Amino acid sequence: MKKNIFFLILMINSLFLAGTAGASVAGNYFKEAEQAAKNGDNQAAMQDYQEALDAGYNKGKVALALGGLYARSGDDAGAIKWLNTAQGESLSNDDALQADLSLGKIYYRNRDFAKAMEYLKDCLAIRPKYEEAHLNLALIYRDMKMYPEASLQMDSLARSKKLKFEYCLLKGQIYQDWGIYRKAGIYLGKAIIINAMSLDAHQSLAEVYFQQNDYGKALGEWKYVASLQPQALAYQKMALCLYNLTEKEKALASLLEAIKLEPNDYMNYALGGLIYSSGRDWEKALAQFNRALEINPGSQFALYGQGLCNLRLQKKLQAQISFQKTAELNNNSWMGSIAARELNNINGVK
Amino acid sequence: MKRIFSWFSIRIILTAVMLTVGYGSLSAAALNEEDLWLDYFWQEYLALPADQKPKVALVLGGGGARGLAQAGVLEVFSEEQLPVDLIVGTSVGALMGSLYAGGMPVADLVKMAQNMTWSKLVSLKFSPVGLYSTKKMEEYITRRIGDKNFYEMKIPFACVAVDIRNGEKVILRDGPVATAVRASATMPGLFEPVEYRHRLLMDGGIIDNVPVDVAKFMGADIIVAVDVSADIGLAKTNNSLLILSQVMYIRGTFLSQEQLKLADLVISPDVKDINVSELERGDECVDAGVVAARGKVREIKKLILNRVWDKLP
Repeated sequence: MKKNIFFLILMINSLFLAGTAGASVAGNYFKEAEQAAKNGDNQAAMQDYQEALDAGYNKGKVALALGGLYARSGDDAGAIKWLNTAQGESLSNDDALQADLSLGKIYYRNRDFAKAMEYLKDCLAIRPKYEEAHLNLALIYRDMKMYPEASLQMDSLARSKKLKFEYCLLKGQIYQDWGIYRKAGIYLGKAIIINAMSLDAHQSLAEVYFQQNDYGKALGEWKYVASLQPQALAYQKMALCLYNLTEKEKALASLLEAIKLEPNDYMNYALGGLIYSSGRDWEKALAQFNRALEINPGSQFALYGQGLCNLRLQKKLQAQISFQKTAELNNNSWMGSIAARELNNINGVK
Repeated sequence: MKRIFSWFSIRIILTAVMLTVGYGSLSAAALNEEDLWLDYFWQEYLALPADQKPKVALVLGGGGARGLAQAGVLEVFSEEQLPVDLIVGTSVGALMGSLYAGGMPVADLVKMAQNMTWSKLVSLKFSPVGLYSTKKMEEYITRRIGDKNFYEMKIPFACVAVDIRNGEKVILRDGPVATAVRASATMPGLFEPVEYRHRLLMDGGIIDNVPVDVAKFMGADIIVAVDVSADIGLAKTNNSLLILSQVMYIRGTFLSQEQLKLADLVISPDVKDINVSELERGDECVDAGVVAARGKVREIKKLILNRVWDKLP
């Protein structure tokens, strides 16, 4: 009897030990996979995750990790497959949140807003104050031009200490897109107080000031943006601010900076044409519009400018050709209609 | 340590999200070719002598609390330097219009609309002809723009009321502004009528809620109307005040339809679900006014340019 009991204990023990050893092996594979993923060795990570799975590691956790790995490597189909597998397992709340959030982001990235929203709302069903879900929902609503809804999602982040900058920036940008510039300015200003180096915040604030016709402040912001990251567009916007501030020489100098950065951007020359036109220097304006058209013959803006300059220089035939082309490019547009009007004037048609 | 780690990791993840969705990339709007020429010609228009410019009228309709949206519309007009050569208003439109035409800075007008309460405008009276007196409204206007007569307004202004003795539409454009506005914004049954120049006046909305015709009489070349009428189907009707305002607005909406056809352009802020008495939703109203007006700026500029095209240098 004693002998039997001894063997029974021995058997249970060895079974237990075998199980522990198996779990430990699977755990090691999982840890190695995590490390490889961290080091960017996706191939090794995938292999180790598979080994962990084969060795009996928690299927939900492995699938979730693989989903994340595929998502990071840009294989959305693979990521969705693994994340759906994870969701089929019994996940903890935290893991379920991670799966839903990842799926939401993947579908958002692929512009499938309906599915993205479904998963993000699943996150909120688990944790109503989940900040990342609110933030991503706000981004989706913003893209869908549903600004009141986007703003409402952002309100859930209003008290977030962790995401104060993100809250102010995105809230400001939502108001900017919505066209409520007064409020946009307030939030973007707050974002800049938190992070004075944010290119995004300065850029958005520059746009807001420009839209409010506050060219002095807009110019200051664009200058700062150009100092953080020199780009032709910033110099073009600076030129427009200066042009509106009637500082035409400085505006032209700003365009020269833009040309240094993007010599083949037709807009650098088209804007030059606009500035010379406002000063009634039609010859120089025409030269600029001609150069713009060499680069982009399909620019309705430059074609109209060419026509206007020719008309003012009494070159009616050339003006007629330019206006004709402008109207033909898109006769439903306002530029098409004003070109057609000029054509009628030239032809004496009332 | 764990907290710091989680704080950093959240920020890193969010930054990655934002970069992935183009949030951190160059987000400046590319230049809009049409806007560039539109702004060019707009500057040419602004430089024209006054006598060569068309007379632009802004007609502000009635609608109780919804009318606070007009502060948002005026904010956009001011920012965009859109001309306002004449203002005609009814009821809350008369109130907002008088303050703007009287020289109140638009930023103050917006703040006022965001913080408006009934106690600033009316006081309980229990008179046989109305529960409330609107005398406070008169004082409110006077405090903000002074004790002005119509001829002293910075922008020519008129408002509309109805004489309840004979049902006549009265166009108020002479005498003290504050009293006239008070008369124009006096809802029947609730507010006591205003005795004014041998007439017994009440809310202009009874007879002409969006007085586009008045702007035409006054020589406007271009008329922009702001319609803040309600969605009648959405209105609450659970007390006598709301039923009364509902009756008034059913009539007003019906009459406005013809008036609005006379306008060159109509701005309709999305305030249809806001009740006539919900002044506490002022901020929402202002935003709706801004958004609606912003959406019409290009159209207004084109409309004006179209009229002066041959006069541009």
